[in-house]
Amino acid sequence: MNKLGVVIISLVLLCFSQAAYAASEAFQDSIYQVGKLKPIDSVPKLKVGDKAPDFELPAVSGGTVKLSDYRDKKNVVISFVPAAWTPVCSDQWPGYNIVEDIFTGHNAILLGISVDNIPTLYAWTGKMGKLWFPVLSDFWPHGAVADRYGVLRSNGTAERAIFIIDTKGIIRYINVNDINHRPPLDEIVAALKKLKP
Amino acid sequence: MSQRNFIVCIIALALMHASMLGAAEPPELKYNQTIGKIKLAVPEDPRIRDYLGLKVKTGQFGIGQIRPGLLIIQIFNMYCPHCQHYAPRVNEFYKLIQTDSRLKDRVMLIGIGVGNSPFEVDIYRKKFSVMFPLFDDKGYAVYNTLQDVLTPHFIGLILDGKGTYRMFYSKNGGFDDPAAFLNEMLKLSALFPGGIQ
Repeated sequence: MNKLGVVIISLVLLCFSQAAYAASEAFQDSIYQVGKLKPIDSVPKLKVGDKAPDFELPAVSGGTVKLSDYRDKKNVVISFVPAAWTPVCSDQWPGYNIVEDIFTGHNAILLGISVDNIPTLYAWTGKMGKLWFPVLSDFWPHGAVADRYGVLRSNGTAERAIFIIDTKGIIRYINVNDINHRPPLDEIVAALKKLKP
Repeated sequence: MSQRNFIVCIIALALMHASMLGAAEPPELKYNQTIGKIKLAVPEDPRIRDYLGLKVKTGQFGIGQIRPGLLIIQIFNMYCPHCQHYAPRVNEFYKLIQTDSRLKDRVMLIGIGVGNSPFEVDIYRKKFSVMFPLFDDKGYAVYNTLQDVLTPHFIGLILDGKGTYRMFYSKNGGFDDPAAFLNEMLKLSALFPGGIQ
């Protein structure tokens, strides 16, 4: 089969593929449909037991957040999401927003990170209601933190990934999830339970 | 089939699919939409089995196995901001049914958490103090049967208790006035054509 045939069949498969993610009415008509994406498009750079690379990123709420500021104080859960105004991402953080007690019950803070800029994140997260956790912009240098964590995809978006870092700054859990699906909350909670309070 | 004809067929299929997407009607009020394929886990709690009139005690059950009456299904997602926003109103809706002697034994309400694990459904139940039965649809089986619904979504069915049902309502979105919504559902159903107010 020639290259034209391969391209056409690929396009048809893309047309017929439908990602199941149960979209919320809250984002009706606001979501850019990306179709089914390559599940993972990055090369791991970190593993459980590694020291988490430090970073300081601007927050939607103002100011900056520095990872090392939580050292000896709190466990940190980092939630990388691919992009604002896309499926799945828009129905991920609102779920975390109703389980603040689970995070605080394990002495953990959640940091949401996207490669979008602050104005975009402001508009997008505003649709989610008031979030209890900081939302950080890894926009410039573009995706630099995602890259250091090995979750920057080839198109400049981030993977849908979870990192759990203990109070000593050591990575205790990594899940670079299939970008088309939410990471199982059950697993995140189970990983938090394994941490020392 | 020659390679050329094969490619022409593929292009035709792709164009047909694209035109179907463009012409798709909004997913509201899909009367007679089949939901016969929906299977839910039989609740362990005998009180819920009694509420639904289920004779089976284990495994799965279909909608047709529920006792005669009016069944309202809330399609929700723990992660959906609007589902969270409207949860107290849905609770009030349920309370209106349970406290009205005309409705208590004839109108049932269940929720199905699409894309949610039992753990996530339980979080939603506890967070919003939901008293009516909730079921999980972790594998999107229900969601894929319904197709294109946004959460929250409400479905109204009349069940004859003999395995068949009639759908009289299917609509995206929540409601601001539980009493008005209940009366609208009752009026549209054959059981209470004049409503109760």
